[in-house]
Amino acid sequence: MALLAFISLTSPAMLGGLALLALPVVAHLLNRHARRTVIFPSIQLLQQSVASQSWLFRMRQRILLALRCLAVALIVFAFARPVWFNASAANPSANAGATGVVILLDGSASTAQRSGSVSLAHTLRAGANKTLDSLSAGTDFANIVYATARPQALLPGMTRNLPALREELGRLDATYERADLPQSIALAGQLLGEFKGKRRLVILSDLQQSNWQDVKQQADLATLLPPETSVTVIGPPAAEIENVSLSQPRFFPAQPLADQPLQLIVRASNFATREKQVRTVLKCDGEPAGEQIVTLGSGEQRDVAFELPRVSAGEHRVEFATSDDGLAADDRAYLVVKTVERLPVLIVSDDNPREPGSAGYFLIRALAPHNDAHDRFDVRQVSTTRLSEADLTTATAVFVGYVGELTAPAAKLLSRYIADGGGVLIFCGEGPVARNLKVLDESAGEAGVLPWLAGPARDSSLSRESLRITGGKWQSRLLADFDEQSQIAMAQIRFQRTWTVGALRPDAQVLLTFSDGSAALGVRNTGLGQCLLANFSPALETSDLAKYGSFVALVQSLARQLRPAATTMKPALVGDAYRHPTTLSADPEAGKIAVFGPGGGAVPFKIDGEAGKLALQIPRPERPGFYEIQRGSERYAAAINVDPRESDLRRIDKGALTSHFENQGIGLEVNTAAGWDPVFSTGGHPFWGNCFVAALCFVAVELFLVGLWRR
Amino acid sequence: MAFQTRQKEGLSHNYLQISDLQRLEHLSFSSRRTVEGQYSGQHATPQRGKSVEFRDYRQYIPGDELSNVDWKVYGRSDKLFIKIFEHQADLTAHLLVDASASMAFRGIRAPRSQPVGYAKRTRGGKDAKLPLSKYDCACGLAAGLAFLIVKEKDRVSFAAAREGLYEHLPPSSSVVNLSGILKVMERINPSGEAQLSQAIRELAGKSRKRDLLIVFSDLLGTSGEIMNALSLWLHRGGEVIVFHVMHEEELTLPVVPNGIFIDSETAERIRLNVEDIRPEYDARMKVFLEGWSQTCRGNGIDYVLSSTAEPYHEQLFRFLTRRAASA
Repeated sequence: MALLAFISLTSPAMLGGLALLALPVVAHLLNRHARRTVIFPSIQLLQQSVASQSWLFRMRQRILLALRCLAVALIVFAFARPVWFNASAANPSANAGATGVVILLDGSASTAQRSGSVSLAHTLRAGANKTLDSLSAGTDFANIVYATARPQALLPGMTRNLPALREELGRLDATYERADLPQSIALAGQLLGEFKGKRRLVILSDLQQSNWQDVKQQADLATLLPPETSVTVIGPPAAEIENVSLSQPRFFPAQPLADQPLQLIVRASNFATREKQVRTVLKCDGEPAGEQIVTLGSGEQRDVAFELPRVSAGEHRVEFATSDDGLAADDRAYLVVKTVERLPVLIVSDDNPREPGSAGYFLIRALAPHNDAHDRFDVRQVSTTRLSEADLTTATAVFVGYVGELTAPAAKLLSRYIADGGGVLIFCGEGPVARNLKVLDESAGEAGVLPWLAGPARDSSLSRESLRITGGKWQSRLLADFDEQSQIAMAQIRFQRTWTVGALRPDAQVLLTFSDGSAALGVRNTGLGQCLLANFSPALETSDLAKYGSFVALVQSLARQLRPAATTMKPALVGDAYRHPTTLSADPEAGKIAVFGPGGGAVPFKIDGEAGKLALQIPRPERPGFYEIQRGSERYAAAINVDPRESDLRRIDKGALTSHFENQGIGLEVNTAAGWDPVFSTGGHPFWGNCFVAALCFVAVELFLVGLWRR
Repeated sequence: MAFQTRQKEGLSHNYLQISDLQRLEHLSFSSRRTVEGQYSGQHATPQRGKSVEFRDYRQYIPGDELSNVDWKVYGRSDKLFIKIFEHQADLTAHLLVDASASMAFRGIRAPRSQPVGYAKRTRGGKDAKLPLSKYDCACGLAAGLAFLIVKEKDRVSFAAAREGLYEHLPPSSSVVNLSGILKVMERINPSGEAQLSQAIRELAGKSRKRDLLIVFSDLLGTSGEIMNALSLWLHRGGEVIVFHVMHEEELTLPVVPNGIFIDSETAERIRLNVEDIRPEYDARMKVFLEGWSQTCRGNGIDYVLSSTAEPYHEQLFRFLTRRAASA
């Protein structure tokens, strides 16, 4: 039993082959069974012969049987792949002699780069296999961490089941995602931490600078790995990969109108070491829509713009493509453009829009006087308590009327909308205006979002001179559409209740002033967007503003100008969760929801209920291209692109990388995949080859004895 | 005596075909020892005297009759020699064939129960040959010798040994007797135990002194008892010839892996693999045969090892040639 403690079987299931031992035994027994009866004249001499040989015959038969059984047993044992190791190799926690290796395999999109006909991903996989081959089966432990946007280990923990690892490794290929290397290293460190013995981390990566910069910025790298973990980084062989990429597809204006010009833009980048003629082809809804050739110097990036004179209303799938090169994943960029007949405007107001005299009542009628398709604006009103991100995403402008009590989430939504490029006009009328403005401003962080904080309210209804708007920056972009007649008419409007200015922000701009010189309307650019603050309100309680046509002109002019210059939607990237901007109806009668990927196959998705609507999310798009969301007869498209950081194939400086690791007390060895030979110390000695040789020896001895005894 | 064609046709039996007669006609068989004959035959007799058969010379001793001096020899050598003549007498030969079960062995591949006989000839001329048994071989040899003996106008008897003396035809020099012998041979079905020694003793009681005994047997019985019986015959002044008839598959065991061998006479069984015991068996067979050879020759018995592998007439020819050369 002590001997058995030193032997480990890599494939113990093969011991079932010991049933084959029955064969020589059965053959031995069958041979003993007489097959022929012979009438012989006299068996006297036969008896004498047998008598003198019987013990010898039995001994010979038993010797041959033993040799055959031993040969079969050794062959079966060899297939079980036995390994001889010392007593401390019984389990990982006590396996001081074994080595635990975690292979961190870079699966980012850039590893799909090709040099000739071989992709780097293939070379890295070969390196991983080479590493596994160098381990002692049955002794050493291993696992593989696949470094993608969400790193994962191929098997639950450190394992000696190297064949299973190889099988999983064979299924891997380069993804379209960007690798999260720090998270991958952390996962590898967690796996190695479970192993008590020599620890080794082998990282197989393309050493892309943009990815590894994240690792270099990791100040606590040493805490991610167990102590005394030796790290080996295997990089690609030196090769010049010429790569041109297309990224950041976008359109202008941000909310295009149907039958109006649309500009489609994509950024072309030349990461090659020489000047390149970059040909970019545009397709809209699968039809060729344009082609351009631009000359880019080495390292140069340029926006390539296409203009479509008129585009019908609806969703359009736009694809930019360039010639295939060393990295094909970034040779295409995808975009979904939704053109509308009317500009969507959102009114955030807690009053009843049907109640005559309320701010919401007048705002809606000012923006959509006909309340039909002839109106220029598609107006929706939502209360602050029901305000959602989906409401804001589709709005070209947001008007805030009466707010009862602005909640922090609603304030956060508004400030984020502004920061992302949206435009918001806030009317200050009745209600806790100062409090609401303070909540909104604080939600944007230390810098705030408002042109000024509100001062005390004032009531000029009883004064002899009512406040009027007598001054303004009519040449400014926001008021450029406000003609002179409108300006004169504006001066006739009397404001009974207004708000004063508290602290004026340095970067704020006063657009309109009251007759007493105080600010009536101001603007401040925050983030990518702008926030307009009016110290007055259209509600009848506060002014006569809504009675005049100039109110309509003012509101409509501002609504057009508040429209973002460019799309503010975050680009959807492979590997990142994608949240579709359009919410779906929660009505179950609307039909079943399904999502299909670029290849036409179904992809998993999640549904969240939000304010009576369904928000759809694709947790992890795996491929770039167009995804289609279906709900009954409704169809929505989504465009997913490769992270543009994957296009820059420049490699991190090995010296800098080594220094970074060593500064954190981690020994690092950097090699190239070509010619690298992993050598790991082993704690066990596989001896199945010896078993085969021994089995052959027994067979040879058996054959020799059979021939000898027959002679 | 030359057999006429008609006589030959009458002798055509399983154990003696016309073709056999043609082969044997030119051969002759004689006893080595002097015999007591009742009639005038061709064989030496201890009874000395004038006869036409010159035997030998001896030196003249004063007192010998001068008529017996060979003067031609004297003229050539100036020495006196006396001629000695043989007294011619007839031979009586007794053929004793072992008819025990062991003699029925035709080989391991032969069907177990087959009628006795060399072959059954069909009108179409195609022989349906059966493997020869030891009994067939023995009877073939015996029939050939019987023919030669009758041809010399000597007398021959036939007996079978089965549980002692089984069949016995008294001696006769007639062709009819010979035919009868052949018929008896065909009729006998070898079975049971031979008890050869008892048969020899019984046959001795039915014969005269100095008769010739020719035994055809596989000699698988107790050698001591057989030799005692044969010695008894020898002590009476007779001659003994032993044909030790063995089947070729007894001399060289065929390949039988894991067979059950059953003794034809005792029904004892033994399971063995021939290849495992072949060397030992061959050694023991050699000892067995040499033992009989030495014992017989040591007792003045003419010993002939006969195998079913060789045609009987060739064996007879070789035997007779050897016998004549050593006469």
